[in-house]
Amino acid sequence: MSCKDYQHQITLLLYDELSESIRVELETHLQDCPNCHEAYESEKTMHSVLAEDAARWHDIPSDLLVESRRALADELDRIERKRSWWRVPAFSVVFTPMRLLESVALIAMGLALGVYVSNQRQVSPQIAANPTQEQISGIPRNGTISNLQIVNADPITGQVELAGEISQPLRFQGKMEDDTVRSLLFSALRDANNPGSRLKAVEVLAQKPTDEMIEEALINALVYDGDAGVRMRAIEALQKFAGEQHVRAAFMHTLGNDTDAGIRVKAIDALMARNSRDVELAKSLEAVTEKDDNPYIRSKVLEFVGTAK
Amino acid sequence: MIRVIGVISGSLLLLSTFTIPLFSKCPISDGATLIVRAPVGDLQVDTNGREAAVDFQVDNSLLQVQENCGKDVELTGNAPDPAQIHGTIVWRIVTPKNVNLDLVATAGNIDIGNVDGDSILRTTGGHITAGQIKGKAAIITQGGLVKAGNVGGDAEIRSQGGTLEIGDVGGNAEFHTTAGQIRAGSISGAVTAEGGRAIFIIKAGDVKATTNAGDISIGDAARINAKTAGGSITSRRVRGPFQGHTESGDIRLDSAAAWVEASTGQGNIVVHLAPENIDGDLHMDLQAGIGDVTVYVPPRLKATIDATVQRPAFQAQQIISDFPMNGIAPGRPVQGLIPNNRFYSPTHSQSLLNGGGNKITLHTSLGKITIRRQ
Repeated sequence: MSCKDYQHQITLLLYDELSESIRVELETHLQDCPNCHEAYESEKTMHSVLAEDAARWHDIPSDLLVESRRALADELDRIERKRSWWRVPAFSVVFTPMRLLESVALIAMGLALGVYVSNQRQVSPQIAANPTQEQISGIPRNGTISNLQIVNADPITGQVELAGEISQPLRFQGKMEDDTVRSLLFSALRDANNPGSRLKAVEVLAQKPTDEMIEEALINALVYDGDAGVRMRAIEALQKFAGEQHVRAAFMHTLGNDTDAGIRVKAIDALMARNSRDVELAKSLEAVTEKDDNPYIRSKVLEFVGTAK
Repeated sequence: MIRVIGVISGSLLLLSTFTIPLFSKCPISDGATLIVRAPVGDLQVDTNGREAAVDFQVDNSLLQVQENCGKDVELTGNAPDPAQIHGTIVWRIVTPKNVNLDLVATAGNIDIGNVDGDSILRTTGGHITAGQIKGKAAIITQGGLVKAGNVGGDAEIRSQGGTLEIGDVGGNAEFHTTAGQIRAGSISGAVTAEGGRAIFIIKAGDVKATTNAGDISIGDAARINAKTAGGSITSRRVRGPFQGHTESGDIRLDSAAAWVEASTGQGNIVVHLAPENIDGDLHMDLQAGIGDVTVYVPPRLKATIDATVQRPAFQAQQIISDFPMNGIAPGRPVQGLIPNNRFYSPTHSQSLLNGGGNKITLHTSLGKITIRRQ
């Protein structure tokens, strides 16, 4: 912009009517250019005189400025519409070389815009797709960014591509039947570093042990979880189903392998309660517990064998 | 023929001097100890006996019980061939309640009523149920659950895996289980609780509680030292110092009367400082990995508060305080040479309350810090 252009904007600056970027540019220019700075000082003096005078105008409506702006905007729109009507090439009455040049320029701009937009979408398609109040450019306000890396930075176009990770707090409500709720609970069961989370997941899943998928998850926790408390809670949830074949198999595995005597005791008690007089089971139990170091378990198995005969 | 009958009769008479029949009785005095060693079977002890004697019976003819009726009464069973045992063996014992009990079931459950004396109850894997024990109690099982009423003296309760449920304890208490919960009432003395799952204690003196997985909840305690590998730690009131750590879970103290040191890997920390002695040691060190830290402090407290958010959220206020805080931008001069701007919003703040004093360190790697006036 020339000094003339800048000096035209000084009045708008004093009325705080400039956009942020233009204001910064103008203020920078005023610091560098003595002539414009002089014009600014002069305008400012006049502005302050007017402001002092305006202070005595008590009967000015408070919404005068708003109304004035609206009227000005309406008038500018009207002029623009009128100008557009005869400027658009398709509606131009006279076909001139200037009109042809305008058309070519418009097509070129459209193509450039298309390329620009498609490039933007490649980087982050979800940003344009779902902007919400809580998000700024797709990043949640309460999210925390980590491992931020500059993938690409073009100094000519100013295009920057960033990659990183966002963590944000999660709170979710739903019923046990909801797939998302289940997935979250199953995910918690696999959280190797957090036995408390696994335990709570088992406690919640134990409310619906009749569901086949939940039953499988509980069996998995009983057989594979490294924490005795989690395994104990899982066996407590499953003990009612110790008569079912796959639950029974899991309990047999527990009897033969679990290092915690309390869990083995729970397993033998449940198996005995739900499978009375089952000769085959009695034989299997004898074999599995033959070397168990817990006398209670061995004794209970013998008792079961005696009853089953 | 007569000779044969004579031999049999003699043998039976001889046998009866060493073994007791299925029904038997043995006198016992107040304060004496009933000792039972049961190699198999469940022990059921009814303590409502009105006579000064122990009645007992065992419902299996394979088991022979030897009695020793001295000052203390001792009943010992033989170990029959396991292959010949069919069904459950039960020892049914009736005794007055003003005795001590020392019961061992090698492979069975133990069930006793109220006892005025001390009780030692041990089994290698069964469940143990007890009524009120006026004296001291040691209850140990290698696998089952333990359920007991109030204990008048000290209590030591252990299970390898089972849940422990105890009423009030008049002395000190020790609770240990590898996979079960611990639930206890009001404990007059100190408590050491090691659990595999949640620990709940209504009231106690000094508490040391540790669990592998699960919450720790202590209603009221003189002092708390709590640690869980995954779960929340909460207390309604702690009258002395508090130390708590959880790998993952919240820590919440509704009323802390003395210093507090708490840390969580993932979770929120909320502490209401309500000191009984405002001039005592009231320092606080609250550290959260991922989570918010909220502290309520009385306005009269002399404190030097130092709050840090290590990794601020994308666009959210990090440190919220009812007291004036001096924000310190990382790597920037402290005292206003360069004022804070939008790029250097405070993620590290300090404040002196009433001239400074107790050091209050609040730190979260990822979350926000809130300091409220109590």
